[in-house]
Amino acid sequence: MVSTAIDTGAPRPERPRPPPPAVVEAEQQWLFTDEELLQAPSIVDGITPEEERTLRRKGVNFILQVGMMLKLPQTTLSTAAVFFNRFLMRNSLKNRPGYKALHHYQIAATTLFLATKVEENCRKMKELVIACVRVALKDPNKLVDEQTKDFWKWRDTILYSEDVVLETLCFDLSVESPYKIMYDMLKYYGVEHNKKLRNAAWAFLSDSCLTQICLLFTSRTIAAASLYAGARLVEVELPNEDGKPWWEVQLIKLRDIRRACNLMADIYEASSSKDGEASIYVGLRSPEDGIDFETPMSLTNSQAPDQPPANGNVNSNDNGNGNGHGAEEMSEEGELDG
Amino acid sequence: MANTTAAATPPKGITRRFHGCSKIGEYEMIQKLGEGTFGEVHKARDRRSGKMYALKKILMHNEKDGFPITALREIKLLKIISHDNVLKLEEMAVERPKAEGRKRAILYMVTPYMSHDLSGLLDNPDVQFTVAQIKCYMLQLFKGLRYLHDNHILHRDMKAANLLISNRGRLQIADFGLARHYDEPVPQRGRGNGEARRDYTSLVVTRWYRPPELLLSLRRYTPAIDLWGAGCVFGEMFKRKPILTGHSDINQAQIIFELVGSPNNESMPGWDSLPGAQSVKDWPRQTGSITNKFNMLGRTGLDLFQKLLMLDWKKRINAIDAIEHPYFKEDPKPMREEDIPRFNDSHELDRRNARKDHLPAAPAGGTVGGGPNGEWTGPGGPPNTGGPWMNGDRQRYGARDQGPPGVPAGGRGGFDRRPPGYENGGPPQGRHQPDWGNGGRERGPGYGGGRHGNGPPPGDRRHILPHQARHGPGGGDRDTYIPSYEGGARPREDRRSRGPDERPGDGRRGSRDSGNSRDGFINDRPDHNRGYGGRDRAGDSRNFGRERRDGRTRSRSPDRRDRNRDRDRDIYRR
Repeated sequence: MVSTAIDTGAPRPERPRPPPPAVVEAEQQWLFTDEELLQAPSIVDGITPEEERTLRRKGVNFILQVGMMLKLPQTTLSTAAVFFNRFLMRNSLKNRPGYKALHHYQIAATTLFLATKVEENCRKMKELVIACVRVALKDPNKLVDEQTKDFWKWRDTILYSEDVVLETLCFDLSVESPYKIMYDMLKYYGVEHNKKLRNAAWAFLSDSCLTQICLLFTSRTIAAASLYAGARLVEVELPNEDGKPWWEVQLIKLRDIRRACNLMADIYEASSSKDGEASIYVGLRSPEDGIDFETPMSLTNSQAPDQPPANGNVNSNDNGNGNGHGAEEMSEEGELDG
Repeated sequence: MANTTAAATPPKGITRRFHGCSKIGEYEMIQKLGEGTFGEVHKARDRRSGKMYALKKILMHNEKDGFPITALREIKLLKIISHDNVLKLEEMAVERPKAEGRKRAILYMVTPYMSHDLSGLLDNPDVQFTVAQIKCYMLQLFKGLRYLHDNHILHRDMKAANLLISNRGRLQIADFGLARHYDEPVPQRGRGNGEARRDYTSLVVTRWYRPPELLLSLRRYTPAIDLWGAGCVFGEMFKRKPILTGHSDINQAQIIFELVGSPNNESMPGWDSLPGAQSVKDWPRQTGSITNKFNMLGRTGLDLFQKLLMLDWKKRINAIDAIEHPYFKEDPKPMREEDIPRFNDSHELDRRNARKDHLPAAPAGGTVGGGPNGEWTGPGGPPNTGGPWMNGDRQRYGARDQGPPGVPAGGRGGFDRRPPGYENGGPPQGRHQPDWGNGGRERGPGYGGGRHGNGPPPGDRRHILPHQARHGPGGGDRDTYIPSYEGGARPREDRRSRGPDERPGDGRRGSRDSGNSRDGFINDRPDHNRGYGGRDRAGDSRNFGRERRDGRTRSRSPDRRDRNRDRDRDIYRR
């Protein structure tokens, strides 16, 4: 019964366990197939898939920029990005008779507002609104206050759209943070102080916000994929346990990790070609299938046949200044020192 | 998952059905069960399945901060848990006003309809509990707690009124408005409740159920706090009334020590370094009277009881071990849920009505799922008064306070839907008072009535209830199906016994909202208050000594108020 023993010393890490069933169920309803992503409401309404993807990126980029202005933690931004992407799986960006679509920035601002509350990183409404106005006008120093017309427009939009967003999201507000899962994995293997590894994995996670990866994989898979990619990048090998590779201990399939990594790799390939420099990340891609799952990753490492990106983010180059690219850099910085 | 049509074909859209939020049209409203600080509660039938649910409306008029953060927290938590002994959030329901223009939607939390809450049942003289039945309920309570703690959740508002009981003998823990994620390792078999490495706000738990370590302001508390509450409930089932009814935080600590003995380095290691320990040191030594007072529990029952009410929070029994306690293995064996007699609803209703006259105090605070019925409602509709009957608290307030000077009446933003009286009332000065001593005041018997006008609250009496406000934030949230006992006229006497908790809280909270929050925004902010206010809930008690005093003035001075609010806010954040 009551034992007098008091826990002393560092508790052994709890073994990874699957998230509670209710969470799995909720997450499941927001996972889609590649084909389904092409059936998103905006695409059904006539926006091309490429364009839709660009708008998503711009929306997430908006979240990241406002978030940085408000010094919000990356975890909150990633939750907002998840909300944003989920929202677009149920609502269109295009007006139809009887339906007035929200602008992607409006959705982004609202999901960010919601995420700050959900993740307990509240900011004053006023600060949030001001940051939105500045980012929307692309003028980070713009003088904005309650006299500004845009101020009220943004504020009202955020407040009035909130319940639409909540309803659309089915109140599925608990997004398991891939950052936390990844960090727990690092701790599990006792490598949380390996700064190179930690930063690399963290950066992969942050950059993946710009993709639709959250609609394809669970947070756990995304976390494992970033760790996998990070470990490969910095050449760290995580230990097997009872003869099982680490990802199995973490309840993840290698195939999913590979698919997720490839998706993340697309960002880098697309952006590096823009600068004309070879991306250091090029080696990231690997065939998803046909690989012996037992192969230690150090062996799979070298082969990175550059296949054309499956659903390439090819058009990220289109936006003149490389919206996407800028955001990546920023987010990476934001992250690393956190 | 849902459809996987070839990408090449013309897009048809996603055909899957999303679950978690439906239109209010799916429900047929049957009757209004009550109105709490945070909204109305209706009993409704799901047209799809025919099942009965309790729908709690979340108020968000004019909210300056949008959807209340406390409600978000509660929803978030409820969505990740599922256990037979925890009230389930079935889904959310949305009502979009038809009117043109951008009107915000009205949102409801949908939970199963439970016919009673434990506090209500214990209040009903016609309901008798056998030992076997008590064991059955306690086991269910421990199973629910084991589940919550194992999933890193602290309930932080354990009390009889938050335990709902169905007509099939099922007990469920409700009201997660104060709950939060617990960042530490979970309790292990045979090892107590572990230790916490970080600080949490100590402003939690309704006073009567608040453990000694919280009364002494321990910030690094553990799931042991919920077990203390479970112990109080255990005793309450035998005594049929709350067992530790302190009228202030200090008094609460005193009566705890009278019951279980004064703290010393053996019974409560580390107690003297807790922030609140100073005043306790001068108190006369107590040896504890628990064995005499609770000998009706039997030897093993008493053993379990003492392990639950152990001063040393590190050794207090955890839920896993409590389930395995010999008490549940010996005769009489715990009854099976299905064998528990049903309590007739109408019966209950009668009782409620009766109670309303005589026993004003009950706290029912049911909460979310609350016991709708449990409390008072019944088919008959609310007992007393008309409109405003809602929470008793409110009513009272209305009458009594006039509102803070300077604040336009009506401005109360928060909870809007309250009865008019309430609304205007600003917070009276009294209200703000810290809880303390008076904390309970609101609820207490006293809160009764208009007695205190605007003035500062009378010092005494009020205390009766602890107040914790359950509803924390601003009342806002929590709601409760609170009936109106309060409304009744007679409150006082009885009150004393039971009611504190709930109500007081509300009241207070309410006040706070109105009062405090008001500072900045007169109008809209309901939320805000609500949200942040929540914290206060607990607040009452917070420091023993200190604040009481300024509490009084607090309401008058805006600055202070602000400050206070900020402080609350901070706390909140934790």
